[in-house]
Amino acid sequence: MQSRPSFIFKLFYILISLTIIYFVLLPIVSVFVYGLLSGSSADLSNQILPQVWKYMKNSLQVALFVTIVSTSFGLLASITLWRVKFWGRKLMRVLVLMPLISPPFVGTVAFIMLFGKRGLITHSLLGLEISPYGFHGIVTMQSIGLATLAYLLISSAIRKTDVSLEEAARNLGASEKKVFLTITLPLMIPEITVAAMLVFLTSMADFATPIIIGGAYQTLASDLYIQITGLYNVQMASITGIFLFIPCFAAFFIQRYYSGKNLVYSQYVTPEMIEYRQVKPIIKFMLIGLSSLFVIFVVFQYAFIVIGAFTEHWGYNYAFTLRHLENILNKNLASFVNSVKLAVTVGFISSLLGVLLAYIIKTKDYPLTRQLDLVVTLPAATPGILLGIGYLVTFRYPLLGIGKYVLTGFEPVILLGTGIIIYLICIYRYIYIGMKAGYALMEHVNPNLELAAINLGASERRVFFDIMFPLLKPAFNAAFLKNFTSTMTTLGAIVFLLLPKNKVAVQQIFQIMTSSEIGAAAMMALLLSLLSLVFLAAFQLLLNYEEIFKRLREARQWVSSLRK
Amino acid sequence: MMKNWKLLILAMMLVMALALTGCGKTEPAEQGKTDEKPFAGTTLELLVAYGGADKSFDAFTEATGIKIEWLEMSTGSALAKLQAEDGKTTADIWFGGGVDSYLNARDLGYLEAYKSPELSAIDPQYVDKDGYFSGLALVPAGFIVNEDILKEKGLEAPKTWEDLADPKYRGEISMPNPAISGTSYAIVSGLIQAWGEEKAWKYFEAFDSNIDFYAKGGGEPLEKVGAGEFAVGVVAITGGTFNVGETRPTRVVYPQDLIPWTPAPIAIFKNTKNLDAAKALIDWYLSYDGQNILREADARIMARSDVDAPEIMSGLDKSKLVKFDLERMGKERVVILEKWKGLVGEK
Repeated sequence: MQSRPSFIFKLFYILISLTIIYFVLLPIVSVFVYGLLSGSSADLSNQILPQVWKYMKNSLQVALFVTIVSTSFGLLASITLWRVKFWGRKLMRVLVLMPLISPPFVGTVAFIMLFGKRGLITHSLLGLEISPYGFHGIVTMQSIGLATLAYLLISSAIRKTDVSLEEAARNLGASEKKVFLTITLPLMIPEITVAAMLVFLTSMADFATPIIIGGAYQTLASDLYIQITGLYNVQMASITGIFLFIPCFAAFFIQRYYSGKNLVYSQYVTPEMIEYRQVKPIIKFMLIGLSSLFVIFVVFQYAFIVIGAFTEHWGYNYAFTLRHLENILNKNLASFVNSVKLAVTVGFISSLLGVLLAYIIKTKDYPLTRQLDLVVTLPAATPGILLGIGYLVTFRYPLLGIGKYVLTGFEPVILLGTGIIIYLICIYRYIYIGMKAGYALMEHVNPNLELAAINLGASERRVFFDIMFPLLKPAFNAAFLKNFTSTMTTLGAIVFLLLPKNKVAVQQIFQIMTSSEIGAAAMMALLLSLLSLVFLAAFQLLLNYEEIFKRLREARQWVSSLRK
Repeated sequence: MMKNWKLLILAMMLVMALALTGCGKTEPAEQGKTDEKPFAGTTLELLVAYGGADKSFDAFTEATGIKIEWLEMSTGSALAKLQAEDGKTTADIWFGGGVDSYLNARDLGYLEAYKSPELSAIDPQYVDKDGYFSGLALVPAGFIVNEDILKEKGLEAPKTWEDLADPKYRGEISMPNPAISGTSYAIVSGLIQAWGEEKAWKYFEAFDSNIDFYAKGGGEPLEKVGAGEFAVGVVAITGGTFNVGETRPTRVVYPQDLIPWTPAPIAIFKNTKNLDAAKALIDWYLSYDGQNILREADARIMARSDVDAPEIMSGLDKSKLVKFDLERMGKERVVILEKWKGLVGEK
């Protein structure tokens, strides 16, 4: 029933497809070709495969464990913070998102300082000496970090579930437990499976956590990092990268299969708040307790950052000082400026492209959408550092890479060595976030809504702007939040593409932190987090100003009514 | 009304973005005095792996008018980047780091040979014989110990490399993986050159049984010993190593038997577009003034023999320095690391 195909949508689809092939598929293919062509096959079966297999087992163990824990925590926190009423809930909703705005390795260092062999809590307070290094350390850190990602996706679902279905079941006498298991939970399956898949993929691709806290227990991704930076063996790293793809592809297809089978439409996408009133106190207590545990970890991390930033030295001298702040303000602040510019640009462009793409793929019958969807999601399964190497080996040639074969002397179009390249890699790397957010939301939207509008004579553009766009706004919002914060804190993909003139704050924090200046690193992390907060707040204000002013007006009226 | 608000917020965001952009701008280049400063206004890009070096950049810019943009990056990462780019880097100068990476880059043809006139004052041991890199400073290897942890465990600080193989230090030593850290590899290679293959490998076997896992970067042992996670760290000794002791109960120990070392090199990238300015930078950093300023930025024993060793390093007995063949170190890297991996496995 597609009528009046819009030229603009088609053009957009063609252009975005071509650039996605160019900036996502080509670099990944390049790095594999680069790796495979320069090596011998005899080494592959004798030496490389047994080693890869060992790391593969480690990676899978970690990723599966983390997926289960993080997704459960994300679900649990979503239910607790959006369906159970208790004091301090709004504060917890904010706190639970805080890990998003600090560089991930800062959390790991905080964890070692608090719970390490001589950690403040484990050693100084409890007198224990527990080594944090190994499987348990990786799993703990990844679970905490990725639970936030899961929460972000699942909480958006729980806020959008069709309340009328639940109310109907309750009116028919179903218990809260039955309502939850047979209605609420199935309605959230798309987001839960997307969350689980993204957690799995992120865990597989995370190299920083095993490097910092893995000790002798290393994974495919961290081995890849060591292969590149330590052994200068890009070839071996590329082969490892190929093996890293296999389980990631599997996860991708499993999610798609599951989510596809459980489509439930709800007519009303409504942010209406509802509470579970008849929950047993013990269950309520457990829900709040477990969520609090998670929040406490987050609070600890920020306590470490704030205390570390304003005291002489963490662990030894807690005298107040502004030394670290002065040090940083005296230095060139260019890296912070570069970080913000990058994150704002990537946040807007990447999220917009992603949501638009989701809309087109789900509503138009254009060819090759499944294949395009796969390519867009590839970066999720690609360790950032491998994608970065792909950009290096592809775009060192003129004419955006193709000039390897023609135009070899034509310099101005060599992307490498220009500031644009880190923008491109971040934008194309994160399009899938907006796309997945768009999908997840659209699975709750009844397609008849659109058809109805078209039958009533609305143009395709009108359908998009008047019906779909308002519905998709939360997806854009969520994607922006994720993309902005990811870009502010990302390191792996851009570490080889940075130039002295466009260095970003995260890279500096990483360098300072590994050279033992905890105070300076904590202060920089704090500034980075605050900058993220300010910009996110401004963005929220821009998107939701109507509601915010409505509330302000209500508050003013309330205050003036009190005066009378 | 609503529209105005929206506009206002948009304007505020714009102003913020602009204000931030303003912060990033640097002042226009100084005019005049072009006779003394032939490269005034030129900007050089540096890949830096020399802790504290940035404190000397302002003095350099003042003296020569050449501006510096710099990025801190471990030499291993830098070499991987160079390889992926086929040496087509936009950076001009490689400043400090592991000399084994420089040897690799030289053999791959990524470096520009330059023999500075200042080299006459510098021990040829620190310099590539064809001029592909020069030595800025001497970086000895040794131990950093955490006094609190030693006391808690009832241990003495190790005095020699042999001590580190004593089972009483089991699980308390942090050393970087020699495949990753240039210093670590220099230690392994240095001990092999000083002791001979047989004795050295026997020692590594005993040493290895004391290690839980090898650190994933050259800076990690310093950080971990500072934090009290380990009692003893095997480190490159620079001014930064001593600085940790100002805030934490750590102390630097020079091994009493022998001291492996590396030069902190400096080189010009072949792909540079500012060759003459790059040469001027090398000349300045190897000059008497430049070396003194760099020593102030990070206390090290400088390559120039007429620059005094910094006070805090007066304890170093130069006669204990390993007689080190850098070329041999570079040549044997693959073989030694292979054998090392066979010995320690995946740790």
